[in-house]
Amino acid sequence: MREKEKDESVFRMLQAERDRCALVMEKISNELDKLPKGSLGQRKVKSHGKEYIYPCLRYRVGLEVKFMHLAPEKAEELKPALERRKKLQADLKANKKRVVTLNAILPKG
Amino acid sequence: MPSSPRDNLVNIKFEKSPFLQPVTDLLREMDKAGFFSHGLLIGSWPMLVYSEYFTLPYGLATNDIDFAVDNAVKVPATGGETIPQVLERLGYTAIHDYLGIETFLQGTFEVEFITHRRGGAGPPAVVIPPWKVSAQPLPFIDLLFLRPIIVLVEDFSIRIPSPEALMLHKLIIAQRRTGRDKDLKKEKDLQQCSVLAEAVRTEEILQIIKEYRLSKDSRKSMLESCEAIGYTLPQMARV
Repeated sequence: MREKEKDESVFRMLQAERDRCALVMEKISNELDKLPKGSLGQRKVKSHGKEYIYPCLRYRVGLEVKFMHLAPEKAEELKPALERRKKLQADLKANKKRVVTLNAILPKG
Repeated sequence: MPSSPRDNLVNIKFEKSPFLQPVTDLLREMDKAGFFSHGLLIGSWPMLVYSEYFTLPYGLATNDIDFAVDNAVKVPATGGETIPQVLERLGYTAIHDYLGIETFLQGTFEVEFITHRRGGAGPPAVVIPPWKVSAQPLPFIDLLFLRPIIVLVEDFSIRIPSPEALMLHKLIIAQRRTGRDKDLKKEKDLQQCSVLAEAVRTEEILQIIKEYRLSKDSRKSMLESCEAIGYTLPQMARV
């Protein structure tokens, strides 16, 4: 009986860790909502026989990829926020993976 | 007569780190920044140290890494990096929740700072100079600072609460947990207490109880927790 109680307490600790990861995911998602989406790139535009290169922000809306022209200063300004977004997305993925692993260990129901 | 490891508990030494590599790296850098002169590693990680050192049946450390920081304004400035700068260099990202509580994230690791809260309600977070770190004030954190243990790990050292202070702290807070996960946390606290009960020194428990001014409510909480784990707190009625 004592052994069984111990086993259950281990499961409950794992459950607490899973819940902690879920909370972290919530925090990350809230933070991601505040950050700009997409990645920086360049777009070539031909006009009057000349080729112009503009920095642009590429982002997805549903299945469509949108391009937004940016001033070079604006592109520089966006860079840290986009890097932060990328890093947080990787953290989110790591937490999701941990939740999946813990769910596989924990008894169903 | 050979002395048991428990007789010499001033320092604990590990030739090889008992922590996961990212945690070892973090602790080494925190030590370099001088954090442990006024800070402690708390949460479930000291349990890992004690389970290794005393061979206790407890091996679960979660990926949240909590540090207690002394809310002292006279901490001498190190002149080097601030704690957020150290964490950023190690790849941690700082995020703030709606209350302003700061958390540093790296993969599944979550670093938070906690400081002692005197009295009742206060601000949800305070910035501690010179670390420039935002810490969440919580009650009873000062208890953890009573005669902490220095742990030498490979080429660096950290400070953790003594097993006795850690156990008394858990005995009190187990009954005061709030929030949606309070039952799970309470159970974890009590589980840790029943494990630590095998290693604590009675005289040190008595000394802490004597030094630390416990309110009637705190004593009640401790006794309730003791009853839950079947532990007899030495001479509680006398102090």
